[in-house]
This record gives sequence, structure tokens and C-alpha cells, in this order.
Amino acid sequence: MRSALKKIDEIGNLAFFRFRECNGNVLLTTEAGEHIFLKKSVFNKLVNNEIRKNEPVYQELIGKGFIRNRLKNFELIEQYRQKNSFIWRGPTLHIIVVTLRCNHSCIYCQASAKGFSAKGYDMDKATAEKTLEAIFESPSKAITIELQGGEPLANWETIEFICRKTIAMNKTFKKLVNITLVSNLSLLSKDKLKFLIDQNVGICTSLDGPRALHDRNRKFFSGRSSYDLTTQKIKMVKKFDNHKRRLSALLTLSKFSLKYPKEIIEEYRKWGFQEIHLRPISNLGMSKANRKRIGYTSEEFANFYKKALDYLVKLNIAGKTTMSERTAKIFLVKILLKRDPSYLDLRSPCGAGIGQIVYNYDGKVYTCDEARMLQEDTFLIGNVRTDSFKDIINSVNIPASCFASCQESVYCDYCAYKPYCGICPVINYAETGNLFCQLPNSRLCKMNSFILGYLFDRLNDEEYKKIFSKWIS
Amino acid sequence: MLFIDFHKNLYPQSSILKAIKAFQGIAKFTIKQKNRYIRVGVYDYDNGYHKVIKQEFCNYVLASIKSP
Repeated sequence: MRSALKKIDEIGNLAFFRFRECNGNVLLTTEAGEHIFLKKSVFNKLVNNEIRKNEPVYQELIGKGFIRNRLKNFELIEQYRQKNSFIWRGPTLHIIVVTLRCNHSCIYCQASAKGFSAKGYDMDKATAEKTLEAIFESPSKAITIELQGGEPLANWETIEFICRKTIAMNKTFKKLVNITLVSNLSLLSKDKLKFLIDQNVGICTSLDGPRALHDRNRKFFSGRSSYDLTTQKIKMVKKFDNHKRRLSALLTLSKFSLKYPKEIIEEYRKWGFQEIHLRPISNLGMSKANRKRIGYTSEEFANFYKKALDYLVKLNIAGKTTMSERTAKIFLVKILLKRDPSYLDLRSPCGAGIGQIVYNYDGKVYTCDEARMLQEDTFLIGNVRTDSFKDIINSVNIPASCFASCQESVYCDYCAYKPYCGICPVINYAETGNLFCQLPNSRLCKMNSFILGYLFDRLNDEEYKKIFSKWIS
Repeated sequence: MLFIDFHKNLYPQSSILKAIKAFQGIAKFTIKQKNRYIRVGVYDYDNGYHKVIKQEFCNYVLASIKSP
């Protein structure tokens, strides 16, 4: 491979690309996000300038922008611009932490939630109002306000206030506003649900798998089964919403989850979810503290992910479900559609401060969700009680996060997966104490590389490709 | 005077001092330790630089971290 690279330089007619071995073939990718698989023998012919112009592969290489003197520059510029259009949008995701209080003590809690009866951890209405004033100053025309906790329903008054105030303020600002609630649903009553449905609030809950697994990961403070309570409320939401609302669910994978790839998929099918997000735990909050007990290696995660996704795709192929997996979809939108899927963690630069902003219960503002989970002020960018939106957005911590998450300045610039991947500077900081430290083969790098390698490999299978295309259509 | 707070966990003092040295021809600076922050005061600069001097100075500090 190294000697091949040297030859590429000598030829000079090849456009810039990155490459890596991928299950016996060579994967080549361009900066604009195009890709092609070549057999090693064909790759060697390419770099030795031995491919004849009448060979089909040569035309494919031209079409995908691998041949320098046949580049369609205007098309490539437009493709690159579209892929990176998020840079001009401004923050679109505004996370409001309405309380840190929670009635669960999940073994991986990244938010370091406080006890249900703890005092001083609720956002008051004055702070909520200042938060909304800041949010509506954001230049983005379309915004999502995500209500988080702790368990956000523990501070219902502020949720009600935020929903009503948002609608009132938007009569002036006329933005496309989407409000979502991320909740364990345990405190959801029929009245509250009616209000949320009337206000068009999306609901996202947590479901970690079958009862035993869910209850092992997510412990309800009264000792009652969290699974029973959550699924009872899932039924209620589906019944009262006439099954029209897209109730979604998130799962977090602990070490205990890794034994149950099929069972987890089946649990999501059972409740009629259209999407599952196989999320590994991060090294933040309780996940970091409990790492030895509940953590796992990237190889263990990869093994689980492969089993789960193969099972899910096979169910799709057999026509038994249309459910998709979110991480795969995010990468597939980038690979197949060459578009930004609006996923802030896999961008260059990442979404910290320029794509998302987090407003904590006490008015403090952070660059992103991970930043507030650090439980320190390193990524603090202001306080809505004292600072204007302009002050917040001009914090020196935002360009620092941007700079540290640009793939161009680190090892990622040499990786064939670069057009589809991203860096999280907060995770890097949490793991190494250094903002500018993107280690090759770090846990996150290994996991993303595995998933991308797996997806590229499966794209060579027509049945998989058909299902993957359906997922992103 | 314009103030810029640099968090010590992200910005080493050496990078800030390097930027002050580079910018000393166009502005005067004060530097103070303030809890977990290094507070830089910028003053006595040409009015024409007012809109850009903070961003330019911060960018220089940031670049200095990567290329000390």
C-alpha cells in the first residue's frame, strides 16, 4: 500500500482520495464523500496508470471524481457545499435541562442526576423565560427544543410554561419549532399527555430491552419495575395519541446488554418502534465511575452491533419488519446520499456551540450535552441570567471546540472514513485531559471505524443494499 | 477595555503570552488570574480594529496551542 501511494504521486492524473483495505478489497473515498470499492489487483492497476480508458471501472472512477483531469468541479463544489451546509445554519438543537432531579438511578446515568426530593435543582420560570429569549435569538429558522433532565416531568410547571411561552413567542419570530420531551414517562398522567399532544410535543422514552435487562440497567427508586411502568406508559401514549404520534425510544447499552442482541431488537419490534438506536455508553458521569462493572471494549461492542444489525436486516429482508437502526442510517445518509443527516456528533467541526446549545437548570449554558455531563465549567459558554445570546455565542470556548473537532488538523485527515465520521472534543478531554487529542484507535474511533467498515462491507451485498436504501429513502 | 476569559483547562498561559507578544504593536494588554480563568484585558487599540480584535486575538491563541 505504501509503495502504491508513492506511485500515485508520480502519476499525477489521479484526483485526491483516501483509501484503506476493507475485507480484502480496497475502499477509496473522496473529500466530497464519493466511494468506490476496487479489488486489490484493480487498485494496483489504477495507481500504476494501467487501467484502459474503455474499461467500465474507468468511467465509474471519472463519474465519482477520482480522475483529476475529468473532474466536474461545479458539481463537486455543490456536493461539498451541501454536505457541509450545517456550518451556516446556526444552532438548531437547544437542549433545556428543566431539572436534575430523577426518580431512577440508572447504572450508566451520564447526567449525574440528583435524588427526587433534592432541593435547588429545578429550572424556575424566570430562567426558562431568559432561556427562550436566548433560543429565539438564534439565527436558525428551524429549531428543536429538547426538554431533558434528570426526569423532566418532575418539573411539570416549567415544562408547561416553556411550551406555552414558545408558542406565544413564535408568533413574533415565526420559526419552524419542534419541541421534544426526553422522559422515562413514569410521571406521565393522562392530563399531562393530553397537554403534550395538544402542544404537538414529540416524546422520546428509554427502553433498554426485555424486562430483566431494562430493570437491571434502569433502577426505579421505589423498587418497582421500571420496565412495567415504562411499557404501561408506552401503551397509554399509543392509545391516547391514536397511534399517530411517532413515540420514539432510546436505549443505552451496558455490559449486561451485550448478551442480548436479538432480544433487544425483538423488544423494540414488540412495541412497534420504527427505529432503534444501538448506543454505546460513553465515559461520562456514572458510566465513567462504573466503567469496570458496566463498561466494555470497542471489540465487544462491535461483536454485539454486528449480531444485532445482521439480525435486524434479515428480519427486514424477510418482510417481518421495516424497523431501522439509527447509527447505521446516519452513516448511510452520508455514504449513499452524500448529505448531512443533521447528527451533531458526527460532523467536522462537531455541533458544540454551532449546532447545539445546552441550557442547564441554573441558567448556565454549555456547548453541548456532553459538556454539561462533565460536571465542570470547562465548556461553559455563559449564563442566560446575565449574558445576551451574542455574548454566549461569542464565548472563546466555542471556537476552541470547533478547532479541536476539525478532522483536518488531526490523524483523521489520513483516514478513508473521514468524509463520514466526526470527533467529540469533550469525550477526548474527558478521556485524556487534552482537548486537542484525537487518538487513532481511541474507543470512539474504533467503534466508528468498525461500524463504517461493517456498512461498507454489507453494501456489497445486494439484499443489504436494498434494505439500507429503503431505510434512508 | 475589552475582557476575554480563557479557561485554564483549555488555554495554556504560554499560548496567551505568545499572542500578547504578537499583538503588542496594535494594542495594550493586562493579564490576571481569576479562579479557573486567565482574564486578558485589551485596550488602547485603533477604533478600526474594534469589531475584529477579540476574534483575531483568540484565533491566534488557539493556533498557538496547536503549534507552540
